[in-house]
Amino acid sequence: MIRPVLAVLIAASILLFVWQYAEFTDRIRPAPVRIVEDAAAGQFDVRVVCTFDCAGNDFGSPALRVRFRDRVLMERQESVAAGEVITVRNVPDVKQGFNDFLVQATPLETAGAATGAFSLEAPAPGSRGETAIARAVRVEILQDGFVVADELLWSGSSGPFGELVRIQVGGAGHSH
Amino acid sequence: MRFRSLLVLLLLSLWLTPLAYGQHKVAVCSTTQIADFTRQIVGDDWEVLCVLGPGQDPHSYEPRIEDSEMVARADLCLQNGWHLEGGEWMQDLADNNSKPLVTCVTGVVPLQAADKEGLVNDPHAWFAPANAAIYVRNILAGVSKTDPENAHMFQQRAALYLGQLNALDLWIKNQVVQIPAGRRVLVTHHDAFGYFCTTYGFEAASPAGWTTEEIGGIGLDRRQEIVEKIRDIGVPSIFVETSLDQRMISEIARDAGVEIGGNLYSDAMGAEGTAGETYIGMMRENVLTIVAGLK
Repeated sequence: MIRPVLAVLIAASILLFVWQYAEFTDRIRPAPVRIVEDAAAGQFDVRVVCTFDCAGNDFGSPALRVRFRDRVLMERQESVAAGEVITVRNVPDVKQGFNDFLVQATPLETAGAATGAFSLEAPAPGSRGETAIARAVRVEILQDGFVVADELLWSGSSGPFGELVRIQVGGAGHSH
Repeated sequence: MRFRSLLVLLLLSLWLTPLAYGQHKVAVCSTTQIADFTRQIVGDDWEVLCVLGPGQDPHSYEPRIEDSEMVARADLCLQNGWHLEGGEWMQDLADNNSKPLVTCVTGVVPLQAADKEGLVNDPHAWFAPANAAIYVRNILAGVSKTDPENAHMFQQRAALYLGQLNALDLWIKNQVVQIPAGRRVLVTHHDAFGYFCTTYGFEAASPAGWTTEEIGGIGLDRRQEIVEKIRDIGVPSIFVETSLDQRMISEIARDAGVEIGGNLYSDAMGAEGTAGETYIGMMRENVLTIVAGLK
């Protein structure tokens, strides 16, 4: 008679121990990681100028688009002439640390074979070629009127292209 | 009379089909990504076979007799290279059957990855679409040499596909820019995503290094080290690779207090009928998962 009772008691003890162990490990689990991003001080503007004519195409590529986080800051479907300066003022939601802007352009199709990363001909290492040099986008990012980033984006291809432009504002990227 | 003509036609077609089929050249690829690139170029003109199936790990794969029989039928073999095929199994299969072999990473500017033996070339180059374009050009050269009569057609298909890769690259940039730059840290089990991270402004972190060999036998000390490293990195989510042991990553994530951001295709693509059954689908699926996990 005592053996079944003993077996039940031992089984219950084991179950209780396992349950308490699970409770304990749950209690000592670290708090979930939270990322805190601090807003950057000042007014931020983006200035873009292309050395080539841009035009949107039928496949949804805009002539020129500037994007920051999940906002499209500017988008032009119709043509943008070479040399036209486009300025986006007062970009919202810029944070302390790193911030990326995406600048995308679609060159008006030119005669001649495409060159660059997505062409049939392998690009020569480190060379952009004469055709590519003619297709550059200058991107300037200004904080309170002062240039904090000035980059040239090169198009190696006759098709649409885009690059991320990164700026660092203040100190650390983020805090936890 | 009509029945007899139909019967003759049927018999004729049955007789001709294997002949036509037999004329197809055969490409045998080591990985699913390379098989997809090859199919995009050769279309239905070649038969494209793949040694690895969806979800299989090329680092630890050991070839079977059937693989050797498959390679024996090949007109051309294709591999990734840079030791992705652990123990050079694809090279051995091609050599043993005296078959020409295309190494797709030829011409890629390598990233360095830490291995037990020091620094090696990271073989996961296809994760940058610009490198995938290099793969495509290498495959195009290989199939054009093997089948010069159809080279013009392969070239047209390759040009079209390269345009799709360009569109993919732009689409990825439009997606990843939605993740605040400070949050763009991609933690996975083994660092398959170095090229992706370099191209799209992510910091790559993989606690277990670049091989998948230790997946089964990770010790408690090593596990604690990984947990602490994830806490130090300070990301809200880490990601699981579809070809690896998901249970271990889930336990590590729980201990580190982070979420599992989702499953990523890494060394192998998805099964037929899934979003990851093609390279472009796989990349899109990965990017959507990453953006949802880190945004």
